[in-house]
Amino acid sequence: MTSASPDLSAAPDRRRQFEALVREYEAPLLRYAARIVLDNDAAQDVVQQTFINLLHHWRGAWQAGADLSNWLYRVAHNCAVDYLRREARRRRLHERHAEEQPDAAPPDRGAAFQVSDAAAAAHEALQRLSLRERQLVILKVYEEKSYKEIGAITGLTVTNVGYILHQAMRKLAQELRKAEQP
Amino acid sequence: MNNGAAQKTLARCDSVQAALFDYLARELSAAQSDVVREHLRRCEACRRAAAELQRTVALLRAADRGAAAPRRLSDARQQRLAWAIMHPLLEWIHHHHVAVSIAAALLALALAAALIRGRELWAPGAPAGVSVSIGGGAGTNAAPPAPLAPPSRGPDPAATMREAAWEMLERGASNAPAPAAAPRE
Repeated sequence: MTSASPDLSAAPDRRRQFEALVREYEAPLLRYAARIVLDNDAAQDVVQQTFINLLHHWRGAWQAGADLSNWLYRVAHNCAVDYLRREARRRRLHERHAEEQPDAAPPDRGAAFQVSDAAAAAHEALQRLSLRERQLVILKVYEEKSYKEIGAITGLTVTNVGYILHQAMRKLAQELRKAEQP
Repeated sequence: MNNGAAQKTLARCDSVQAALFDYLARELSAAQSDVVREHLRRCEACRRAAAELQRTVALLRAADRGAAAPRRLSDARQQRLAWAIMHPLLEWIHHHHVAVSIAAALLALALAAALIRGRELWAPGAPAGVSVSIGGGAGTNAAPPAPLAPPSRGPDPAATMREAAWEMLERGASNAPAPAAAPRE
């Protein structure tokens, strides 16, 4: 029997759908954000903000799929970039403060992360790339997205994605070659 | 790209090396991949370039910070998201707190201005006949607002008509015949 009464289960449904999306995407988004901001706690903030933006700005259906996934990666990237800008401002202030007080030293955020020398060199070389190149390398090498998906996330054409990735990988290979030379 | 074109553009070392990462990332068509594979089989320099790229990718994966990333949001952040979905209005205000603060400040200013204006109007000794208009501020060409009541010049026409009506009624009553009988209940 159909009736015109309001659907009282709508709110719990909405909550369940949202929680299901959080469960589905939190792990990949946390990995992605951690690769960009290099800080697990900041990555949590970035992903939390991404899901809050989903609540406010996503106009489509709350169902897992390519569109939603690409949108979430795009928003997570923007939130991560905002974080990096704030962090750069904070670091500048810290450095200015450190000049006045020589004992103060910035925290070493990479201390807990130990890898081989060659891998560390690769990591450092990756950090020296532009943010755009780094984003594309992360999406391709770690997230294993196709050029088409990367294009949908970044707004670049597939040809551009291929070109930027080619340049970025050449730079990385060159840096590693230099690092290995005595 | 068709087979012939692919053969032409990918057969040279520089073209093959430009497409090497696309090849390793499996982004080339089957025909293009065949051309690159065939070239790599014959060209030592391009094989070295491909091996270098593969090693770079392997080192990047070995240095992956994402592997150490948490797999779930912390409990505090999960609770924050649960709160956001359960209280959409409060969450909206929280999310748009800058715009809400500006709107609240503007509203407070408007209310304060209205209050001050109202006190001036109702203060004893305020000039009578102050008119309030909307949109006719200083510097505009709007016509001045009409006065609330016309100034009284001479007798009130309504009062004159009322008096004339009474006179006619009185005259009519004296000429009319007396009623024949009182109406029966």
